[in-house]
Amino acid sequence: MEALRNLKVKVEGLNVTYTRDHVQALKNVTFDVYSGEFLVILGPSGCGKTTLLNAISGLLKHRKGVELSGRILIDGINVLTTASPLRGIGYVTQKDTLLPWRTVLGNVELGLEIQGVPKAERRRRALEFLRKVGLEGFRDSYPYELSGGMRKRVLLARALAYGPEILLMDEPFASLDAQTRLLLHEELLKLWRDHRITVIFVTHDIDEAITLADRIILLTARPGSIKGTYKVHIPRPRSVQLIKISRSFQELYARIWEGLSEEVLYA
Amino acid sequence: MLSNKVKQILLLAIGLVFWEAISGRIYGGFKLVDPLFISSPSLILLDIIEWVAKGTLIVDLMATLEEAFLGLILGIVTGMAIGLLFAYSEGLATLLEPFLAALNTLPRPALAPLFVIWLGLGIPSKVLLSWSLVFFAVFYNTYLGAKNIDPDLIDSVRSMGATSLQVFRIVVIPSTLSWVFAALRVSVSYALIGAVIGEFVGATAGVGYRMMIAEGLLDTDRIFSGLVVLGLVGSSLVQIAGMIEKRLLRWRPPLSLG
Repeated sequence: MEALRNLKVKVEGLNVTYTRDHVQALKNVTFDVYSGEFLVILGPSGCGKTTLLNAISGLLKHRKGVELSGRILIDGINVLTTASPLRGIGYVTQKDTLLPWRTVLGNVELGLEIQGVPKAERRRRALEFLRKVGLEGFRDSYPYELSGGMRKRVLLARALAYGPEILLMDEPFASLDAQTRLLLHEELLKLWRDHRITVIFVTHDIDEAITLADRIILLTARPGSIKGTYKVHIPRPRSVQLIKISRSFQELYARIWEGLSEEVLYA
Repeated sequence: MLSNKVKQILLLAIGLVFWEAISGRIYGGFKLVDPLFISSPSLILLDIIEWVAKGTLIVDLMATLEEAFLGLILGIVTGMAIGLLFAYSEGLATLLEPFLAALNTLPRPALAPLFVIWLGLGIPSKVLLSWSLVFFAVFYNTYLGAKNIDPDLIDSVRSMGATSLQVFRIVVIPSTLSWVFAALRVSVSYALIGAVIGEFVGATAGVGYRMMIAEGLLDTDRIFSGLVVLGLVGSSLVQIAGMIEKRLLRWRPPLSLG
């Protein structure tokens, strides 16, 4: 079954070095992501997780003081060498990147506007996604008027509204309280299921990783390289509240913790 | 109790009555203050009425406002353009920054005589002076605004596939404009200052020009009239600028509106 699935992203022998402070962030990272898969990259702080997503999103190749080698293929096109801007990626970072002078609706329309979608159409699509994250009533609010959890919802709606096939998420819920976080896990899983999107999700939280992932890749401390891969066999749809008390969750947790804790000591 | 508004009006009324009472009145053979120095509210009012009736006040006011307005618009447009240019070209900025800083410390009124020689007694020399004040305020705000754009915002827009031009339109311009709007009130009062000082040095019309003539004639009433007119016009303009600012920056948390 596995072999029949389509390859979406292929990372091959990726090395990233920040030449300014001579720090190697990633070392010989190789992995595949299948179409529609929910992949979680797990690793200690500072292991290069964010660097990895920045590389895949194509942002890193524009930066000064970064040395990249290896290949990142998305649908067969090498991100590191292609000249055209990438259009098929949604990226939700740790930071709050809503444009403060735009309303909630204006922010969700952003990606569609960049693609040149006509106004009426982008309004319709943006509203549809605002409804999906339960914020259509806030369409005319400005970001400063929203709570942290609401802003994350808007960011999620914004990243999905223009129909990307790959969603990159960099510890998007790290700053939220535990309850809000659980709710957003639930919403994310639902959106992922409905849109059959490929997700690469970065976190340092094992709970979060197991709750969400089809597969977990564990990175070592810096320079990040792949330490292990874990398949999550817990059936879907999962209950984000109840999953933690299941036996398979706890066994997997123990296995991953063994690997991660060694790396935390080095980090 | 009385509201602050009422208290303020009362204070103003008391001040005016006091002013009127000490000006030129003789109490027991003793003249308090010569109206040559302080005029009086009633004399000022009469003078303003006369100024209006002769039909010159409207002409003078329009001249001053035209100078200030043109200086303001040109100052904003050029200040933003050069500010953005500097923000985008680090080399140019480092090369020219000392010169601009030096020019900016130059007291602008000191340039007025030169501008009159260059451009004559008409409106252009005042526009230039007004511009020279507004330009630097807008230029520095634009430059700082463009330099302080959160790089994460640019990254997030770029990751959605934006071209450099789209990044400029979607992030750089709005972000910079917010800094320029925040300086709008200051810019408006600078524009008016530039126009009036320009008129002091040499003009053929304008509120400042009338005041300068009045100085030669020791016409204290007219000088005070000019001050009243400029005060009223200036504070209304700044008020309007404040309203525009508030409207355009309503996306900011209220605290920072000040």
